[in-house]
Amino acid sequence: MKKENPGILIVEDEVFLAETIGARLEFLGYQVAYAENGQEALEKLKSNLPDLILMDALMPVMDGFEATHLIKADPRLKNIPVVFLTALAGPGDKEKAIASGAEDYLVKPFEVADLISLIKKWAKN
Amino acid sequence: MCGKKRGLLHKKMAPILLVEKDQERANSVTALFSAGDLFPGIQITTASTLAQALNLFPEKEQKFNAILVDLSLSDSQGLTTFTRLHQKAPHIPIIVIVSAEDVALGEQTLRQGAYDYFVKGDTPEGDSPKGEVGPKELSRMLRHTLEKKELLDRLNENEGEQFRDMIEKSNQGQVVVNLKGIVHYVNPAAEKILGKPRDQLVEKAFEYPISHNKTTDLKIASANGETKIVETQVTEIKWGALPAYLVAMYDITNLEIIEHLKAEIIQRQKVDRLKDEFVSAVSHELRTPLTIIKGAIDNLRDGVAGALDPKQTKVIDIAYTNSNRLIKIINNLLDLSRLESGHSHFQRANIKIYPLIQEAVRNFQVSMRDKELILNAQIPVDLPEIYADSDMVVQVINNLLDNAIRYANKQIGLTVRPIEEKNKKNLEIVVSDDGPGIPIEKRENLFSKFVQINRPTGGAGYKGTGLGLAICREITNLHHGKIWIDSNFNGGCHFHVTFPIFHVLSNTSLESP
Repeated sequence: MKKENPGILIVEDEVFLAETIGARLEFLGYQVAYAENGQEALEKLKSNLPDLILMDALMPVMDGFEATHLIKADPRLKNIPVVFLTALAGPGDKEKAIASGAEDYLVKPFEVADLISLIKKWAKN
Repeated sequence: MCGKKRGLLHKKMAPILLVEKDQERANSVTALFSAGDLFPGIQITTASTLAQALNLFPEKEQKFNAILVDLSLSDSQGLTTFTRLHQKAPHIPIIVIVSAEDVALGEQTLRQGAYDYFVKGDTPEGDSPKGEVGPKELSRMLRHTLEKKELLDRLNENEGEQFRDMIEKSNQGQVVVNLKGIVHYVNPAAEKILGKPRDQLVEKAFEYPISHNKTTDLKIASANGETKIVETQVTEIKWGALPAYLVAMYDITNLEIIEHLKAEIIQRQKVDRLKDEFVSAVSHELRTPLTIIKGAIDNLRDGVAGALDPKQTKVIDIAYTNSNRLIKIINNLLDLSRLESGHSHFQRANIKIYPLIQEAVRNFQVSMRDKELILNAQIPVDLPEIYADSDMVVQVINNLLDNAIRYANKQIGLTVRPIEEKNKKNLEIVVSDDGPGIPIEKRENLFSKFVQINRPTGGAGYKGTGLGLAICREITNLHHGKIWIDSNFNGGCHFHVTFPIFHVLSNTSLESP
């Protein structure tokens, strides 16, 4: 990843959604990497460290809560901000995301502007 | 004789009436009863004719404990003597005295209600050698009669009276029917259940089937056309001396209705829960594809996939507007479903309303500018705090402003003020528009789900979700606030909402319900 372009890892099992978000972020000048579940995300994080992780909550193999928990327990990864993007909009869902160690939370469907402002807020570099 | 029985007789020795034409016999009977301590303190009144005897009634009827009557009198003979006396004094036990050849007559009087009969011998002083009943037998007979009378009197005075009172005042209908199906007795509760007064029921055939020794539900049509459901239970009793049926009736119409309502409530709760689960699942399942659709449309619209010409932009704008509308409906539906089921995230605190309103107004600035609307806001800066969930308050203000903008012609009003009603301090928010208003007959349903009033002007090209006011109502209810509409002046609509002001709790505490 080039230094001037912040890198974003999109962890999302819905490929079309990942691509839609990714296209927008690339259009805005971000570098984008993809993972389809928590386990794949951890694999990718072994070689590349992004500036921010967009994390889906419910995914096969390893869900976002567990992945975030592992990321935050790893001294090498724990400083990477994690923002949840999830269709779970019920009471307590936000708390669950935050409890797993995530920095922030955005409910699907969301406004692009809201996503960008969260990315700008957390990916400070 | 045991002392107890003696005591019974001692207690109240009302006189005995002896009706006997033969003065000598009368004297000997009197002497017999008065001798010794068989009947201590006994008083015997004598009458020699039936006329004389009848004259002692009815005024002094209660005076006698028993009547001894010789059926053969100078002014009356045989059974007639008994029946006339019995008619006159039906509650006094009568022992008849017959001659040896009239034993059959004695038996006859028993069937008519005499307590006993005594066959007179030649000499009342000694036992009759012919097996006739002698003075000892007469003494025993009288004693038994008096004891029985005493017991019956007591029963009538105490248990009998209480029992009768209990039956009369019972909420349960009680009907006594004889074996031929003729009604003997009806208590007031049964009159009510059967819908007829006593005189239309007694001595007439009982109209309903009598099922023996089991509980049966009867359907009884009442005068006003409603059908009562009556549970009946039949038991065999003695009525007087004869067997009869006691039909206990209980009006269970209301119980049936309650059972029915209970089942309905349980069913409705089940349906509500399923509806909640369904709405929640559907809205969740819809979110992912909607996010993709919205993201794709946004990308197109913002040129992520390349620049668009004005015609293409117009097309994609339509998709954009309506994907947002769909998202709003789904969000509102989920919110409302949670509010209705009480599963919403509800966290109250003492909050300042001014910043919330500022933010809401800011969010609507673009749409107000597009419609060239003027906002008349009257909001004091020093408003008291309200005890509320701030997200929900924002939702209410947003929904009301959204409505007002949709229907306003030129102006929107926004007023916030503290009000006091029945010693309760509230903050009132009034959101108004100068649109066409809402006819009174349509206001009642305004806060129900999916009700949208087609107001004649305004709102072109921009429809709501039909859930906004329903959500506002649920939120205000949750806060023990009120929401109402008045559109009596200026032609437009005025929506009023109140939220409680709490002074006791300072702005430090957070409270979960």
